[in-house]
Amino acid sequence: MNTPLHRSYHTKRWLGLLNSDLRLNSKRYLIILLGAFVVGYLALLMSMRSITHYESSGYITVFMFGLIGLGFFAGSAFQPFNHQTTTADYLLLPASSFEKLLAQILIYVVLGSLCYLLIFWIDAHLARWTALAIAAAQSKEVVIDLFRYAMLWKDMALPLIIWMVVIAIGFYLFALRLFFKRYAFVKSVLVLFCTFGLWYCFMVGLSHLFFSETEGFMIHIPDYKTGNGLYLVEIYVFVMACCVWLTAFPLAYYKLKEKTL
Amino acid sequence: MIDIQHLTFHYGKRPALFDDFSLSIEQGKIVGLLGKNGAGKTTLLRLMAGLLKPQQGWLRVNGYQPFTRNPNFLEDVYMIPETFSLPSMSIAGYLKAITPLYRSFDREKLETVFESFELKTGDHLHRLSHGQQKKFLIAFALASNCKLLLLDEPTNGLDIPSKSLFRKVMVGSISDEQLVLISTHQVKDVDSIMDEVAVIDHGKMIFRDHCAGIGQKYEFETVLDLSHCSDAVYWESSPMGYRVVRPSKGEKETGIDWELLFNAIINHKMDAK
Repeated sequence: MNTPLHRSYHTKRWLGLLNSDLRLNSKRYLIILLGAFVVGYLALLMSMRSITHYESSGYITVFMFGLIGLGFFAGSAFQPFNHQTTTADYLLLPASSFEKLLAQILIYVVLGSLCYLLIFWIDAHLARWTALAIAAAQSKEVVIDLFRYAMLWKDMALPLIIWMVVIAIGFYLFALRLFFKRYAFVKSVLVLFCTFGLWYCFMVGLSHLFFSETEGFMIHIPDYKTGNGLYLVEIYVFVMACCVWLTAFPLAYYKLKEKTL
Repeated sequence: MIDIQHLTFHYGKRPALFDDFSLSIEQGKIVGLLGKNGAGKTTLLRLMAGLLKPQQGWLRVNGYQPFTRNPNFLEDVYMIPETFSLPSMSIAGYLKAITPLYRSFDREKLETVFESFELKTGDHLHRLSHGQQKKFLIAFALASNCKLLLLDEPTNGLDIPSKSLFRKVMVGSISDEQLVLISTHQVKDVDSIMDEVAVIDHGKMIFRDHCAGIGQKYEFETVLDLSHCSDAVYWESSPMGYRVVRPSKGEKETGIDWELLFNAIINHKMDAK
């Protein structure tokens, strides 16, 4: 079989590649999961211990920081490209570039997000139980709301948009690291900050150009609400995240296909 | 099997390492690729494996353009680089992870080679010495049954008994459908298993011949003085007098002095492209 479709994608081969990645990196993934679990638990517990009535806003703050971690995790995909020897091994694995990209996306974006949601849910319940037990032992009266994902949905304007932005940043790092050979992750993060800085300056420039009331190094954001209840800025962020998603995929695929030693 | 025509390759803006380079090799052979440091041996192997993209020219391996890294092509090519790193896991775990990707992988062959190399599937890869890790990779490469095996300095790190075992295992495991390209400085480690030798220098193929042919065409001797060696192609002084290479008169077949042969080729005293 040497049809263009078979060359690019074959389910059995892709599953073999996925199996290979999960087996080869199982220790690393387990350490990351365990680390995320412990850090999440401690962060939630600390935040609960300092407030007598812990509400959804507390959960949201920790959730947001966790999402940043998820973005960095997504950006750390293609681990073999950290060293020349492992780069060669990875490039020579009998699978297409498309399958390799798809496997990384599944592990680092899809499974990463699902594991994050699960870990956060367990951590939130465990931390609440611990905090209540400690408070009871100290005869303190505290109220900690039970965590439900619906409370994020209700209180945080558009968690989906935020998730999209975080994963878009992850994808951006994911695609960027394929441009560099040495210290790819560090360079990708630097480029990300530079890009953000340039974008911010551009926005400041536009704000001064179109809104005379803009002061200093600030961005003027008009808070129009659209018919569907979304603020203009939310739609803008959504569109930007979609653009990053749409450009990062083909860019990552092209760079992976053209990757050399 | 391998067809290279007018290939040009350079790293970045550096001068061309290969310029108008051509080479054709058929399957069913073990070919030794020799050359000085920086001659381009490893680069040539990488080009054949699809790890590098040539700037110009025609390069086909098993009918595929290597750099497209077609999965069907990759299934039939295995490269053992000079420096490598293996994951921290047991051999059994590694095999479970990687072997499903190689359709022709032969588990029985692996067991046989493991037995020769005294390796066990329960061994942990990171607890093996460098030489044992290399033996593991060689065993994996042979069991993969890939049509093209590219071995970059395969005997580096192997002890003396292992080098002899390596030769024995190679000869016993390679089929007529396979081609093995061995890039090495340690010619003596592989001289008895090579069918052909190719020497590259400054990106050019400066010598290529069958090992049997070299033995028939040339005599390699050590003489006290050069007075009777007017036909010598190349000589070097040695503690015993002179090591000489000269055209064979057909009277006797001497063994090949690989070091002398290599120096003769590099000094452009021999030409058999």
